[in-house]
Amino acid sequence: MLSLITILIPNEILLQIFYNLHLQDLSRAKRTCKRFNTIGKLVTNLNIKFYIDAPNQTAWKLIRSILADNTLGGKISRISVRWRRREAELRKSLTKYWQWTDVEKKAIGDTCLFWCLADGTRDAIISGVNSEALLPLLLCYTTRIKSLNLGEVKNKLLLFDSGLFIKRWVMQAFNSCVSEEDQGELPGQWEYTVRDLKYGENPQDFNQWVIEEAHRHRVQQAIEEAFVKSVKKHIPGISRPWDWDNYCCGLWFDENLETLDKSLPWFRKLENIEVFCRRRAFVNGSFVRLGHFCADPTKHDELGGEDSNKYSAVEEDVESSDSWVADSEDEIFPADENAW
Amino acid sequence: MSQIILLSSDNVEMKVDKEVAERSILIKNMLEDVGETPDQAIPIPNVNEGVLRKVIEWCEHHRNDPPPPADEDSDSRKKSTDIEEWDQKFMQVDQEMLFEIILAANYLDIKPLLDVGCKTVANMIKGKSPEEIRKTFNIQNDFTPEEEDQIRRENEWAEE
Repeated sequence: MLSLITILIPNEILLQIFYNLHLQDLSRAKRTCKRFNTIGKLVTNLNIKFYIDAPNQTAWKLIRSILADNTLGGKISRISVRWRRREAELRKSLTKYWQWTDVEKKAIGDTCLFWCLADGTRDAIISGVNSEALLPLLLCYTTRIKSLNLGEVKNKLLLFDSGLFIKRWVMQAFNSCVSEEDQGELPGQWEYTVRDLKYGENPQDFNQWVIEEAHRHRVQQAIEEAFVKSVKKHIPGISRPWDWDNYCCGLWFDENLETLDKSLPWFRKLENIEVFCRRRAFVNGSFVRLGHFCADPTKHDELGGEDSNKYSAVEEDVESSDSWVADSEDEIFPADENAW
Repeated sequence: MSQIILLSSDNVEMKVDKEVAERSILIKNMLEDVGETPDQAIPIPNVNEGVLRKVIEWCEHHRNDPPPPADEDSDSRKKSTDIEEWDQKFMQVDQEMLFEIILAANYLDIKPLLDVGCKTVANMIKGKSPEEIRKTFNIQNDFTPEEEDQIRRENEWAEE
């Protein structure tokens, strides 16, 4: 049977058709035949959504594709960041760490060195746990970026209902996501539970209760310490006071801000960079917008509020459809419901 | 209202209002070059009668549309595949006619019609798997299994 689109439609019109497609549809169109793939690759001004820690690991896959195809980064003009952190109680969200090939590791190391990204950033990228660390790297390749929207930042690496202390299974959840060499040491005290302890003869004894409570407290502290130690490897070294509500409160972005600003020429040269970032402020819990990279500082105010939406032409935000349903056959975390 | 005559590739003459024909930038420029309304038919060598009738039908309906914004660089190109209802109905034709309309719009330089055509085709691609796209357009899969796998991996990041 004849393929009319093949016979009748010239390449430049095919390209024009492709410009009307969203990223996902374009990528599928490219997979149909060689001609579609060739023409599809010519589409520039890509609007991408960058999902932090989503189960289908698209952020890592994007960097892999960029490392393999050095023209891809230059085609990206808008980045919207969406935060999909792991949630201790949602098994399918507990994405396993990402593994690079040796060739990729070397390329990442070279790029970090060339653009003066912090060693911590490089290490986090190699560790493959916190995809937020990929952002500074991504920006090294996006030479034609026009807009960057950092979205509603969730900087906790693992979300959980904290209560007053970290439960053992939270740390187990965390450790199930990181590579063995990156895992924190489980404290020895975990071998015990309060029930195993035999102090004195009378379980109703008040002193007994005090001793058990004290012990329980020590165990909790040890677990918390181990958790923080473990998490610290994967979050930026921003010196802010620890507080349990924001126990990992830096953005990789913050850490690399100054170097990026100075070293990436496309952030300085281009006139029409629109950068906004909604971020929880420490005062009043309201959101503040940051516009670090805006070439013209007077424009910062214009980037506020509802206006921000008009720059993202391909916002088809169906927040429900992405995320956990994606793929994730990996049931990596055997929930330890009985612990504690 | 002055009228002009268009001559299709299969030698059929059609009378149209000048204003309608001038939706085509090609014809508009040609008329401006000539200076006065010509008595003779203007040949449109690349477009047959059926297609030309469709194109004129579109131009009639959109004769009073405001001109598209001039500064349409590729950046501001909207990716919305929304098409107004009348245009949607207008584009409910077989694939051959759809592509012929697109080609005619391209040749005659009627940008809004070309846009509607491209969006219509884009909508036929939207939401489909590669196999479904092939079926829709009778496209032969000319990838080797290895190449197919490679392309799939290259594009994985775009899947949400």
